[in-house]
Amino acid sequence: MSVAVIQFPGSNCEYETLRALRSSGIDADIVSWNVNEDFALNYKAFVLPGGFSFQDRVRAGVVSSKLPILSTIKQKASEGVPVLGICNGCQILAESGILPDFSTDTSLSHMGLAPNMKENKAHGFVCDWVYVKIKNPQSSIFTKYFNEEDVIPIQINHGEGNFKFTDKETVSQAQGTQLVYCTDAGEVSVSYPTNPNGSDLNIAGLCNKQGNVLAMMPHPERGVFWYQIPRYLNHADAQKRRNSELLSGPWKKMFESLRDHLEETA
Amino acid sequence: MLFECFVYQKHIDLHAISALEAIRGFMKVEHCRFLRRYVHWIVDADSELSSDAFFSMITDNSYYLLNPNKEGFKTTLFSKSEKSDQTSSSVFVDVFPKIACDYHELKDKLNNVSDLQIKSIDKRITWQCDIDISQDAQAFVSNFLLPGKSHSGILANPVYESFSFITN
Repeated sequence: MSVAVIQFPGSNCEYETLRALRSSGIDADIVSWNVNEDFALNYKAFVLPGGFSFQDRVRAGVVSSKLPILSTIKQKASEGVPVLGICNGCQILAESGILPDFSTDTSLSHMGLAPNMKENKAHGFVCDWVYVKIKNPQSSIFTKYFNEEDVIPIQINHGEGNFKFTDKETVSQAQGTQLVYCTDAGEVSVSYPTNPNGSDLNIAGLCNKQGNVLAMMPHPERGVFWYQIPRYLNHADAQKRRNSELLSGPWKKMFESLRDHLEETA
Repeated sequence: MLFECFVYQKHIDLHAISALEAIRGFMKVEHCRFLRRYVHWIVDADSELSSDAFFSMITDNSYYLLNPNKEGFKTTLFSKSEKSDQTSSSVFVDVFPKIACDYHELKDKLNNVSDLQIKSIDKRITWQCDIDISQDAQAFVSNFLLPGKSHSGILANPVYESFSFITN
């Protein structure tokens, strides 16, 4: 049940993503972007890690989205193979059209990841801890161990993470899994800094209708181990960290969920 | 009065190199011969200066619009020396955000370093696409490099960007 972490020219989160996967009992490899198609077909899931593939030239993720390996991943995604795009991986999935998946879900609108904005002003690169909630977590193989009530701290690191949709109304009514930015109390406020980049509907990530492709701008691999969670956050896990009682980070469940899915479908 | 300038990389244009590699190598669109990327500044100001003198006054006093160590500017895209060779023809596409962007802060900074009385500033990206002479260049760019019904193109993202051709 090997998982391929795709290394693009300019990826910089592939090793910590690999470590997060392996710590959850998943056999995973780093696989180069220019590997031949037959080799890529051996893998049971794909993770597109964070970073700055091709230095974000033209637009973040757009050059990588034209690579032949994305055609392979698109094909595998349509067959139900799990695909997780984190940060730059999320941008690549959006630019490649793997998400939203019109072949199975015509109700979704087009989406793109625009530069970060704050009150109509370019906001530049943002690096911070934020909080998210997950709508319909049971619909995705990656989030089925979370609850709708969970308020989960997570790190963001991006300059172009501003989700834009051609039809916000359709997205707001969609039944698929969505990650939304919220306050530490779980309130979904559209104002900065709760919504750190101006995303429509406070969206931080979303899954396709089948539940096997998840694209998210925040970094779950940076919330897997207890020592990754800052002591200063206003969150129960940070309190446990302060008391030296925290055993693992909140996002370990995401990788365990993937592991169990791969075991069930082996 | 509106003043326009197009800022280009003097030495190496990495955005254009990667875009051309993606177009020719990955998208297999081989009739695209050459790309160049410009940052297109549009400045509204009360001034009687020529465009060249206007922007020289800004760039001599600040690095806000360009870094003269590695970037240059021109005020027209259709100068004789920049015409394409006989095997290709050039098309210029302006890409601009649909999201309103406020450059008020930049305007204030520029007014602080000059006496130009700038009223507003807008920023766009302009792509010069040199297309094989055997093709209708504008139609080719529309069909293969810009967003269409059946593909996403590469030079603009239709969800949050618009585009238009610049004509002579």
